Order: sequence, then structure tokens, then C-alpha cells
Amino acid sequence: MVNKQGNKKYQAPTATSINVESSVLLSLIRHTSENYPSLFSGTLLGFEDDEGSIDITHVYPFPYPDQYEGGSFKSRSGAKYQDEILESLKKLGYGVEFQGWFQSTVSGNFVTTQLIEGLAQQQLLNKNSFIIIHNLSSINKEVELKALRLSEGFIGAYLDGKWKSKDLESNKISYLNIFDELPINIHNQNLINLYLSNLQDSTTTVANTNEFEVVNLSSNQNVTAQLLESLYSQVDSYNYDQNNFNYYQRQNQKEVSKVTQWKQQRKLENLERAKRGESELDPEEWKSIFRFPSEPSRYNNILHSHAIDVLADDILKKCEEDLTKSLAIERKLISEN
Amino acid sequence: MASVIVVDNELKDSVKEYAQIIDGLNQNQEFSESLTPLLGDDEQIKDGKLLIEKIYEVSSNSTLSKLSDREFEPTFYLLIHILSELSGESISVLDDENSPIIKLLLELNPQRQPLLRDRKSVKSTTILSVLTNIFNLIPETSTRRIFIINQILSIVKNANLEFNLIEENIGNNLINWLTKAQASESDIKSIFWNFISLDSEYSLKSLQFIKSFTLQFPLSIQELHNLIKFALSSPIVDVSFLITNNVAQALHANAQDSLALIFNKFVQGELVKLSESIEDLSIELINEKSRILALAKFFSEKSQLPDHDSIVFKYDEIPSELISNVEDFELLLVNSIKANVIEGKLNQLESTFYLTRVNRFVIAGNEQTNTSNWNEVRQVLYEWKNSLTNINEIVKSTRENIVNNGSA
Amino acid sequence: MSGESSFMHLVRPNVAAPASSTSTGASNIKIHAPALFQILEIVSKQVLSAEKRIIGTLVGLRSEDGLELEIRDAYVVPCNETGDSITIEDSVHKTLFQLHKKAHPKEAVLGWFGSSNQIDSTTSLIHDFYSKGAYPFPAIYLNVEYLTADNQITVPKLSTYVGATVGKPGSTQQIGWKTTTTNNSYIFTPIPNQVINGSITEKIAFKQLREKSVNTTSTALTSDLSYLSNQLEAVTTNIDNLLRFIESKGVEANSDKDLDLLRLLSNTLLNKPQLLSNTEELKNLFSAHNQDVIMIEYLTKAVKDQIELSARLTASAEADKKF
Repeated sequence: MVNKQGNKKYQAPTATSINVESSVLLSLIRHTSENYPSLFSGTLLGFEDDEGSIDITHVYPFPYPDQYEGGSFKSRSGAKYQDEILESLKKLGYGVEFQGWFQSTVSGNFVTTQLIEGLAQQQLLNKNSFIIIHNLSSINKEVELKALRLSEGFIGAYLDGKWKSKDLESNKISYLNIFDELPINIHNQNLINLYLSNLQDSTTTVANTNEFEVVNLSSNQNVTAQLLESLYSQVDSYNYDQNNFNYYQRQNQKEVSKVTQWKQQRKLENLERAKRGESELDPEEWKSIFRFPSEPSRYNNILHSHAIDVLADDILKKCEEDLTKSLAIERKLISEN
Repeated sequence: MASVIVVDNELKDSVKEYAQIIDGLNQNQEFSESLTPLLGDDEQIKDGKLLIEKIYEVSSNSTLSKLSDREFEPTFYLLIHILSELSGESISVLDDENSPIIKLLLELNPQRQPLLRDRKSVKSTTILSVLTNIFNLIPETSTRRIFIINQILSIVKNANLEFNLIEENIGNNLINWLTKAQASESDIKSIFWNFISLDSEYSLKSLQFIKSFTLQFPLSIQELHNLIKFALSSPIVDVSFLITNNVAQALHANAQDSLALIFNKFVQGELVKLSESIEDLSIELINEKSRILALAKFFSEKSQLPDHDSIVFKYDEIPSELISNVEDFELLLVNSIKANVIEGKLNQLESTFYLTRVNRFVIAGNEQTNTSNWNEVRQVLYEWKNSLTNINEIVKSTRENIVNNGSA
Repeated sequence: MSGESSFMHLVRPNVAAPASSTSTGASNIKIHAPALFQILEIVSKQVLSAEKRIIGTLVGLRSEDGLELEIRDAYVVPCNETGDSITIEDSVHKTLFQLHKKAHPKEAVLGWFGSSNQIDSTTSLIHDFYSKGAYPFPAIYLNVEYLTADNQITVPKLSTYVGATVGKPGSTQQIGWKTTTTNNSYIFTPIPNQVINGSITEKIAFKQLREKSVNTTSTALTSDLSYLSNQLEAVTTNIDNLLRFIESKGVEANSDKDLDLLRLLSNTLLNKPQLLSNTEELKNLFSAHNQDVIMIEYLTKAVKDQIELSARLTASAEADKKF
């Protein structure tokens, strides 16, 4: 991890919540859910208000689907489109600016280096940048959106760029607090509220679909299987990284025991010499003799750990749902006979 | 919402435009020239009445029928616009018992359908489009709307237009429109049945229109006959939903009527045999549907008996009138499933049918069966309720049990 | 599909657009909820200056026969009214459309929206502008009426129209966007519209907006308050309501409405899967399934714990490093 931002001064974020216009919310959700399983991301535009919130008034999805989460943030076509939007809107006198991105994903898979790198650079440019993650693991059942930004500690470690355990320690971060979550408030224009409150139940319908999928009692092994597969692959990557680390720890251990041995010997030697009235040899000389292996970066470890943690939570949730449904039906059916 | 005509020209220019169109059709300059003295040089039109007369005079059937299908609508709207403006009140020209312009329009409706390769002549759908716009220009409360609806129905009928063109929009609104236009109850009824009679497919939607009609109005014997004939001709098998309280009453009042008798049997799931005759209806179709309903009734009754299994049915317990041979019976089962009257699975090897679900005939007036259906429904609801109570605790304890047993 | 309406719509009128297809039939407009919200957000600014007209472009999809239209997005386009004429900022319209088109290549300009209490000659001027924009298809016009005559705000009313030509045909010879001849005479014919949601997930969000209790801040994984439990509670309430209704009526409920309910319930609820013919096997299947699920849970928890443990161990090992 090379740090190119060395001379840039990082400012701590000041925004405490995200306000999203309801039209933006619906547009975003429609785009991500309509295109599932393709992943999509896009630009969120708006302005910072005086009360520490960011108001999002426009959303523009990127033209092409993402190969992986965060893919469009640094790609040439993504950046070009984003510049074009900003330039056009500026020319038209819209008072809106870039505030953040959205990204669709499935569960913990969004924790990619591309996404983190993109977001970190953005946060260094603009302290209040953030990303809205739309988790589609419960598509057609629930709306799972969260607004995240990299925690101050993480950015601190990012600027240090070494990612050693002591850096994590000194910045007080672990895989659990890579991100800070910001509350999302949905803002309805009065006219929209008026419209919504006067809707009759039958007014909106989608042909051939229904929103009660979550209470559909047939179990849904598919999603769980998909999540489990993601989990395996994250665990694989985690293990690969962990093997390197273990190797380092073993090497380190070897050196440590060598040093201990050396010290022991030197101590004895010095005792001998003292008896003989000779001057003491330098007990710290080992420092120039032995070289400790340097600790590999913990960066990938904490990213994979975070992804695994989110995936595990989602899987547990699916299991809970599955079990609930299964038991409800079992009781109903058995009660009949 | 109504239709609105917006013309960005002075009225005089519109008249000139119209004159040009007419002259173009007649391939001369006569009409434009004859208007010159009337239009004059200044802003005002001098003699509006005379102008109207003149316009009517040239707007003859024979002239306007030269218009192509594409030209027809714009020209006719221009004509409506001019006449409305000239006569002062904008819609009075349409909203009048003997509006000559509507008469003209109806005359222009082609008597025969144009040939397929004829892309130019005015089509009936174009006339229909103009009529709907006229309908929308007239206020909701005007009785004139009733007349327009009648004209539309007769155009659809005479031109053999597809029913689904008007089904949705007219079906959903007809009674509402007629009521607002102050139609009498007898007018509403006769227009409604007139509308329904245009459906040669006997669709489910029309059946539902009939149903909601019967929710509002009691039925005469003639209307009851209309309903029965329509229902029996329909491809929809289970029409028990048609028997609303009004229909049940009409059936009861006409209990001796032969058509009512057969229909009653039919919807109750009694077999209507091929040997019976029902006026001009196809007895084969009725018998085929009746066999499905009779089978459903058999399943439904048997499955509720305490001494009979509620799911498993052997072929050999099926009443002989429904099972002449095995292939025939299996076909009947498949047809019943296709008609969405029963659900289940047949096992040909074991000559067994596993019943999952069967339609219950919920019919107004059948109080006894309805009561037992209510009881059953209530029972199932209680079962569901019980199965959901404390579900979270059940999940917890089941998990603990399994984990403990698994590790033990 | 379409509910009650005061107007009649059977066939789309003849519109002066070369590509308006020859197929005859009723036209129908679907308004996507996100587009509707954008429109409402935009037109609500009209209150600020009742004198100034606020209009915008509708974009979306058109069916092959041109009769079905889906309004999927909308944006504002500035315009200036002076006396009888109006200038629409064409460049804004085009720029924004080009931006939209890049991310939504299949979508096209369908027409325009505005918020006005009456259709007048300006309406046809704007319509004329958009007829060229939607060229070679006919343009549609969506009106949101939400101000009463004395500028009081009321519930927004949506009306959609297609503009059929009035007068001499042939005066509308336009090539693409550039044209000098104009046709400003239209008969605006109402066509039905309905508001729809594009996906189920969007619909769920829409419903939550309606209930004004949007909770998009992520909910932590608590087994007591999951979304499913909420929904199951709602189901239980529904069942309770039904039962209360049935009990209160006794079983003598015989009105037409009651019978419809009974028909619906008895034809859907009274079903028994074939498996019920063998209860023992059924129990075994359920038990096997439940055990599988719990096994997954168990292993997943183990993975989660392992990750945490490993992070702790590493941290303390590195912190205790002596050298």
C-alpha cells in the first residue's frame, strides 16, 4: 500500500447524517434492484446544509455495471461520466455538488480494495464524502441501505500506510470499525406527503410481483447458498493472507529464540570475563547481529475479516428466518392431523 | 379531465383553412371564393349564422368522405372548433339532441369495412376516436352522453370491431357514466346488456362486469336469461361467484323456469347430462364444464367426511357417471386442474388422485354449506394463529434442543 | 388495470407523427413512482412564483406499437414566458437528456410535464416543442394540478394527454429537431395513467414511505426485531382481524361482500399438501431440514468467532513483542 497522499492534510468529517430526497431513494433502489444480479454504482449529488447534514437531491447511475464493487469509482469511464455530469449541471447553474456514491452489493462483498481505496481518496479530497451501500441479499423482501464512510482511525492508518499491528493499535482500529455509519433520513417534499397520504390502497400495483415475498413460507436455500459461497471465498482469501502472517510469526519466533540464546550465552560469557577481570562485552550487540522479519501488512486481513463478519451476520439472519418459517409451517401442518 | 381543443389561430384563419381543405377535396376554389364577402377585411366575422349554414352545406357526406383516414380526424376537429366558436357557446354545437355535426359524423362511418390493402379510406376506429373525443367534450351530466355511448356500441357492433377495444374502459365506467348522465334505470340496464352482448368471447372480465352489475340491480327474468346464457357459454368453468344475493333471488323467483333450473343444477355441481336441451346453447360445452364441477363437488364433500381420507382418492370410488373409462377420467382430472377448480397430483400407476385443493361453491342462498365453509375457514385460521403464537420462543427452544442433542 | 375515470378512451386519436403506428387501440401510460416524485418535487416550486411556469421533460420507454408508455424519469427545463410566446431552454433539455441517455440507452423523450390549471395556447406551444423532441413519435403531456383557483394547495391530481392535430394536415413537415413550420393547434385527449413501482424492492420502500416510518438506518441483527418477525406479527394481526370479523358475524355472514370473502378464503386456505398423507415422514423431513439450518448457523457462528479470536490473539501477540 503506497501512500500518495503524504502531503495532503486530512480533515475530520463534520457531517453527522445524510438526508435523501424520496425521489432519489426510489430511483436508486429501482436501478439497483432492477439490474440485480448485475452490480451498479453511481454518483450522489446535493449540498451540505448548515446543520451538519448532507442533502442528496440527485442520483446518476454509472452507465456500465461493475465487475466488482468499487470498480467504477476509479475507472476511466466512470470518472469521465461523473465529470461530465458535474460539468453539465454546473453550466446549467444547478447548485449541486458531488457528495458521495452508491453501490449495490450482496452482503459483505462490498469490502473490496477498490472501493476502500476510492473512498479513502475521496475522503481526503472532501472530508464529508460517503457511500451508500445497498445490500441486495434480501432483494424483494427488505430494503437494506446504509451510509458509510471510513472511520477517522482507518484514514489515519491509511495515511501511515504501513498497516502493522502497532499502527492499528495506535489508530485504535480493528476490522470492526473500518467504517462509521451515518444515519439516513428520508426527506419527503410536502407535496409528496400530501400525495402519499391520499393514496388509496389499490393505487399502486406491480403486475405479477408481490412485496410479501418475505412471508412466503417456502424456504429460500438459494440465497443462503449464495451467501455461503461468498463466505467460503472470503475465508479462502483470509487464510491465504493469514498463512503469510503465520509464516512471519514463525520466522519471528525463530529469531526471538536465537536472540534469547545469544543473550544467554553473552551473559555467561560476561560472567566468565568478570571473573577473569576482563571488560564486559556489549550485551546489546545482538541488535546488529540479528535481523527480525518485518511484520506484513494487516490491511487485507482486516478487510477480509470485515467482509466475513457482515456475511456471517446476514447468513445468521437468513437461518433465523428459515427456521421461523419452517417451524411455523410444521406446527400448522402437524396440528391438522 | 376532458378533451380540450386549443387552436392558435384567429377564427377567420381557421375558417379559411377549412375552406382550403374543402376546395382541395373538390379540386376547385369555389368555397374559398364564396366566403370572401362573409369574412371581409376587418377582424369581425359579419354574419355568423350564414357562415354556419354555408359550412354545413359544403360539409356533405360525399365531400368529406374523400378525406383519407389520416386527414379525417384533424379536419373534423377543425370543423368542430369552427362551429363551436361561431355558435358562441363552445360545446352547444355538440350537446344538442339533433346536432347536425354528430349526424354527419355517423353518416361518414363506413358501411363496409375497407379492404386490407386500402390504407386510405376512413376507418370505423377513426370515427370511434372522434366520438370519444366528443364524449369527453360534453359535460358529464349531459344526457347527450347516453346517445354517444349508444352510437359507439352500435359502431362496434356493425363494424365487428374487437370487443377488447372497449371492454376495459367502457366496462369499468359504463354504469357510472350513465348514472351521472341521468339515464333512467331501464336505460342503464338495456345499455349494459347491449354492451355485454358484444363480447363474443364470454370473457372472465365480462362475467365480472355482470357480477358487479347484479350487486347494484335486481334482475328481471329476461336479464336472468341473459346472465345464464352468457355464463353457460363462457369458457370459465366455476361461475359460482356470479350468484350474488340479487341473482339468487331471481333464481328463486323463477324456480320453475327451465333455464333457471338447469343453471341452478350447474352451479351447485349437479351433473347436467348431454340428453338435456338448453335452447340454442351448446350442450356439449355445458356438459363438459358440468362434469368438472360435479367432480369438484364430489371431492369437496368426500374430503370433509370423517370416515374418508381428506387427501387420497382411489379411481374406483369415483361415481360411475363421471368415470366411463380411465383415460377419460384422467383427462377430466387434467381439465379440472387446468380450469383451476381443483389442485392435486394423479398417480396413474396406483390409480389414485392426491387432492390438494378444491373450489368450494360459495353461492348466495346456500346457507347451510356456507355456514360449514365459514366454520372450516375459521378452524384453519385458528390453526395458523396457533402455529404463529410464540414462534420466536419455539425457534429458540428447538435450536437449543437440536444443539444439545447433537453434541450429546 | 385502470380504475374509474370520467373520460372515455378507446382508441388513440390520429396524431401527426410519422411513426405513430397504424395499430389502433387504447393508449396507456405507466408512471414510475420515482419519476412521479421527481415531478412533484419539481412542480412544487411553482408555489414560490405562481406566475412562472415550471415545466420539464419526461423520459422513458415506449412499447413497440407505441401505445404503452412508461415514464421512468423526469427533469426540469427552464422556460421564459413573455406575453404570448415562450422560450424553452433547448440546450438544457438536450444536455440533460444526453446525460440520461448514456446510463439508460434504451430510454427516449416521451413528452413533457407541467403544472397548470388549464390547457391554453401556451400549452400547445410547449407541446409543439416536445412533439419535435419526441419525433418521430407523438408526445404526451402530463399535468399535475395541485393549486386551487385561489392558490391553495390541494392533493395533486395527475392527468395525461396526447395531442391530436387539429386542422390542415401537412402543415407539420418537420425534419428532426430543426423546423420552421409549426403547428400549434391540438385537441388534447385524456388518456389513462397509473402509477407503478418498477421493482418489488422499490415497492417495499414506497410502502415504507407511505407509512412514514422509513427506517433505512440499518437494523442490527437482533433476533427479536427482524423484519420477518414484524411481518409475521402483521400476519397474526390480520388473522386476528379476520377471526374477530367471523366471530362477530357468527357464521351467518351472507351479504355479497361476506360471500366474496368466504369464497376467497375457502378457495385459498383450505388446501392440504399431499405430504400430509404421511405425517411421520413429514415430521422427519422437517426435523432434517431444521437440523441442517441449525448446523449452518452453528458453523457460521464458529467462523465469526474464529475471526474475532484471531484478531485479538494477533493484536496481543504483537503488543507483547519484546524486541
